Amino acid sequence: MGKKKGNQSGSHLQKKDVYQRLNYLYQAAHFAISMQPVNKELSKYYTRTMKTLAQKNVVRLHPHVKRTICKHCDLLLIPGVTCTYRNKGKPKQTVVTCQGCGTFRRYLLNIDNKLWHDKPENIANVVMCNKS
Amino acid sequence: MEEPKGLSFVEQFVKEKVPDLSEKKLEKQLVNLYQKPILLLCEKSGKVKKKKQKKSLRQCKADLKRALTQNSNYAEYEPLRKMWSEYIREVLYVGGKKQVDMKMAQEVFLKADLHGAVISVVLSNCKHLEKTKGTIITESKNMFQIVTLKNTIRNIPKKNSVFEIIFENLRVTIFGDQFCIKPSQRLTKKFKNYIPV
Repeated sequence: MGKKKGNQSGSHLQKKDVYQRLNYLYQAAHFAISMQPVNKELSKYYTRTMKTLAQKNVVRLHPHVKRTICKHCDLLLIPGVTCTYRNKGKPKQTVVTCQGCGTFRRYLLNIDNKLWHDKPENIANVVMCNKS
Repeated sequence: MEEPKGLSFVEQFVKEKVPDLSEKKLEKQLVNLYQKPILLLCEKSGKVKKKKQKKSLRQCKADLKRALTQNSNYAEYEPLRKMWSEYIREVLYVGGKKQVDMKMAQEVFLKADLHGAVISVVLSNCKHLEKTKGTIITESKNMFQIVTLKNTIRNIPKKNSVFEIIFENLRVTIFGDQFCIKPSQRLTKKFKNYIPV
């Protein structure tokens, strides 16, 4: 989903129900991991429906959200529970390995690297969700 | 011809230049020296990396089945039910109003997520399926998966039965015949206003 969106007076959000549904499924996946005994398959099921929903309705997920989901097996990556973080050198990078399937992702540590979504010049509008 | 004593020049050359040869392999190579050519570059017994294949849908469902038999406690899914009621309250009461728009409520329930709702079967062709009640865990094209009050997991088909959801003041009836669609496709589909024969 984009950044948390809401309704300022005048700004319209198309496809608001899609964003709310994606939000709900993401929270349900977090709940599935907190059960005892831990149920990894259920959380994988929820994130998979989340991805197909976004695909069918042509809605892009925010890259910060995508980085917490394993690309191969669709597990929620929580440091300490389902994945490991390690620092390696030359050039310095952090390596995130998923414990379910073993695939890893590398992030190079560079001060100049910034996501396009993070730069304040590229944010046009921030909308907050209404609470009844 | 006299047999050469010890290792001849060629054989010693082979032993020095070809790396990583065990003794058995050396003997084999030396026997074949007079008949076949020898590769001086040692071939690495390379481990061919196989690409990890994603699990097929069938295996994913089988894994789910196995994993869910451990978590069949009805009381454990309490926070899921709370989250669902909060989610639907946000969707129904649009714009901070206090009354529910009845026209909008129909469309809302068609497009909403049903994971975590308390559902009960009212009418169906199979008599033993009636009066089952529970929370929905997973939803697929033709089936619901439900945790019942007696701590068991049941699969209920959607066809030939009528379901009911109760939320605060509202009571929603769902005809299962018209509802046989994947949950991710239900958002975009438009439902007809009449029931076909």
